[in-house]
Amino acid sequence: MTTGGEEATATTPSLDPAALLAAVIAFRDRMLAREDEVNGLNVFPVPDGDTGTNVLLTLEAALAAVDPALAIHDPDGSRPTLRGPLATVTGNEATDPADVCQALTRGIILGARGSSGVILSQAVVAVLSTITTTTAPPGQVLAAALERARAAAYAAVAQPVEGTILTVLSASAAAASAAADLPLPDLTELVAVEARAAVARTPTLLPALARAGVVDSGGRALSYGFDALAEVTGGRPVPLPPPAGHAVLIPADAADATLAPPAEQPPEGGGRYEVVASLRTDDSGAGLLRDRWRSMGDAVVVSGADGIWRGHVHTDDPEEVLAAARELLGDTAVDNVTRTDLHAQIAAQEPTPPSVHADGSPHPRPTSAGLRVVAVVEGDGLVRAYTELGAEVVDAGAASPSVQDLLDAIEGSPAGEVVMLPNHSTVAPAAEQAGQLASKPVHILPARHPLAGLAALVAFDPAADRAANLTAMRAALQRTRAGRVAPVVREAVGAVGPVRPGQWLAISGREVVGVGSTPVEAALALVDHLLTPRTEVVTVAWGPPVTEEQVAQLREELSRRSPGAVVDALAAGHHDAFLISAEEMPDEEGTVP
Amino acid sequence: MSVGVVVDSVGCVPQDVADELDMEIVPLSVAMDGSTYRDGVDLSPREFYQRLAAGPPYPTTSAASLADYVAAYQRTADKGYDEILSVVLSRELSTSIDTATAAAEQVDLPVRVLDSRTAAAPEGMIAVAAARRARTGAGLEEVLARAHEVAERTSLIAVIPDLMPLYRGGRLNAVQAGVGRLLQITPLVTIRDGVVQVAARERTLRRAADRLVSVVRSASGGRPTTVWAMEAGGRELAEQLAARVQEAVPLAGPMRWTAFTPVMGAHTGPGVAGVGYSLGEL
Repeated sequence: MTTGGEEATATTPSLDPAALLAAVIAFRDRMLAREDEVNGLNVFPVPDGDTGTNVLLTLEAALAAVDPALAIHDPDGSRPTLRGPLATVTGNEATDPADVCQALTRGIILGARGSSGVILSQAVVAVLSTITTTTAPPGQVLAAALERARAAAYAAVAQPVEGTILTVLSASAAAASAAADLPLPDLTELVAVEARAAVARTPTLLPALARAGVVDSGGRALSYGFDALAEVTGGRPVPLPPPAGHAVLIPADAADATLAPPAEQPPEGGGRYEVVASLRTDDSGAGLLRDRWRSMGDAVVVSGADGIWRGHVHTDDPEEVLAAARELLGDTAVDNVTRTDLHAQIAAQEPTPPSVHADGSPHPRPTSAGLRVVAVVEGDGLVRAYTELGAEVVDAGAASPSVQDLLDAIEGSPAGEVVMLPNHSTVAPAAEQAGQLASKPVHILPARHPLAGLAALVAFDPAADRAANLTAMRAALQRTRAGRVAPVVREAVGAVGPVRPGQWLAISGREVVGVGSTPVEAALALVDHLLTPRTEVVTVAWGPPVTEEQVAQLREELSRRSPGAVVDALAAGHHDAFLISAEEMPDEEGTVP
Repeated sequence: MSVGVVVDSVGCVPQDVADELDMEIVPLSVAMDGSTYRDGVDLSPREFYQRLAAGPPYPTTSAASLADYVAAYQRTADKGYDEILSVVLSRELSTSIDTATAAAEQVDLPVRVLDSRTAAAPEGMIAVAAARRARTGAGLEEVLARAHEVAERTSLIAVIPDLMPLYRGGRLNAVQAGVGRLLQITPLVTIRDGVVQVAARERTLRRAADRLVSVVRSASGGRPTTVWAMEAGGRELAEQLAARVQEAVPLAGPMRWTAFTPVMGAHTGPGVAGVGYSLGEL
């Protein structure tokens, strides 16, 4: 396609560091406008899900690494004190492009927060490293970069889940590969359209989203990134889409979710097949086809120039859309047709084995310089409990910790080797990243709740060797069931019935297990879910929404329901009303002669 | 050439055993309510733990006096021994070792001071094993070698059922101990590298007891083991633990009861219970 010689190359937008930087700035500005929207794309109607904030802060960290003046947040991630006119790239023209690339790469890797932030950072890094190492035409560079990003993202998660940011990244990469010969502005527009369609598809892949009536938050954020890239490379403004609605339905519970198949009907972005074709036409023919296809399918892009055009559409009936194209443009005007079954493509994504760090065994060096625990915890009381038990604490109070925060804690520990307790599912990917970047072995345990992590920490013995500790800590995690009680912040309907602000939800893992008109009522529903006949220790951590009387009330109920269990309550100062864990007694290993 | 063995009161050697082996015991000092007492001489461990449980101001302990050490060495010399092995609690726990060394220069017979690197029952077990060897007519080097040999396979494990008295008295630095004050955690302590360390933490007393038994069982590995039970004013728990250990390991000789030394008890609080154990006979 590059027939224009040097002059054409000079005017063709390219994927260079300046464009990337501009795209990251535009992305950040979109996230600034849509932070609350993305935060609100949460399957539970409780204060939670800070995906929007995490992505925004990730981008801010990347920009700050290039030039602190580009970021509008403080380096520690605190809220911007002033949202004045946004910085522009123009001040950076004197900067060496290679330096910009390096700074962006470093900034986004270390500044990544939350699972979406980490996956996003991998995508940006893949693009950056591809543009600096190849001289291929920009479309091919983008296609290669997105493929690389996709592979990296899938490799980074232990159990890839479709209907998430991964799906959106995957769809964008596939679209870019299928149309890599398009001019960059058209390709980036197509990728952005694909990304939006994939976001719309996420509820069909993840039942929890369908039940909540939301699209995936991380996918939504990534799609804003592709919009920004399209705007910067296309030179045309890409408007913000209408804000997505908040969740109105609460996913029921695990049993229900596994029984129910994913929703059959695709939502507005649906269409099982992706059809891509080369077209011989002109502007007016392209316009006609665009209108016709829009009445038949989704994700319609018809773009090109000089008689060579590409068409792209999602449909349930590929032959119907192809027939329409031939009818409008002529039989010979349509060729190089590809039909892709998007559902099959998604089903074919192989789960990747967990990272070596999750297991601990691949690290060659046994403990000698000592092993210590680094944990991510929120709330004064929990921070103190963890500290007293000998852990280095990363305080997640202000925001989900960045890769840099975790790395600082790992490197700051005097130990030669570290056991990491991420304690939140959203922190796990950043922990993996930090573990890979660290100069010492890091063993990341699958702790997904601060009190589960606490049980593992109690089992930690600084004098024991690594293998014994990892075994004991994993066993403690397996013995511990945990959940939380949080206030309802918006009206919603779920298996527990309609809920409204003023009520309290009991949540364990990804399940809502109860609702109550007081935090204690919800806590008791949670306790009923967590307690087993073998429960030996119940730990209750309570936050500011709860009064001391309510804690006493809960304790009393607990001793009635589980007279044999030891009950501990601590004022944790976290934002939830209650965090509760139930730890079972270990097998009778200790008493067999 | 005969070797007499001297040990400090922290070793908790039962009086009848000390008498049988002709050992001298040097008392450490306990300061309590304005008076100074000699551990095991003017003040029994039982009295000490009763006083400790009564609350602040808490008793404090200090090293043995030079006069007491010189007197113990002198008595040993007077009994006709040619050399002395003086077994002392870990340098990290007390300055007694300096006193024991200084006292050696004030008597006319050779005194070898041995830092046991431990305290309580294990220290006593090392001293007793050395004294037994000395009774066979062995020389100082051989007695010392025997002490080292036994030290290698001797340890203790104890449960601290209630940390609150210590926290209230400001006697336990939770961060150093690695024990959360906010949770009901039952630590198990041992002495490693000469210092008291938390060996394990459990969320319940029942589990801590299980852990204690399994520690001793795995150290024993089914071989005959010498066990000294230790109590510090909490006889009931100590008896339960002792009974379970007795079931779990084959004993080399009858189990002895010892009072957990006030010198450590002052730091761990009343109610500590556990066992000292040594693989094989002493």
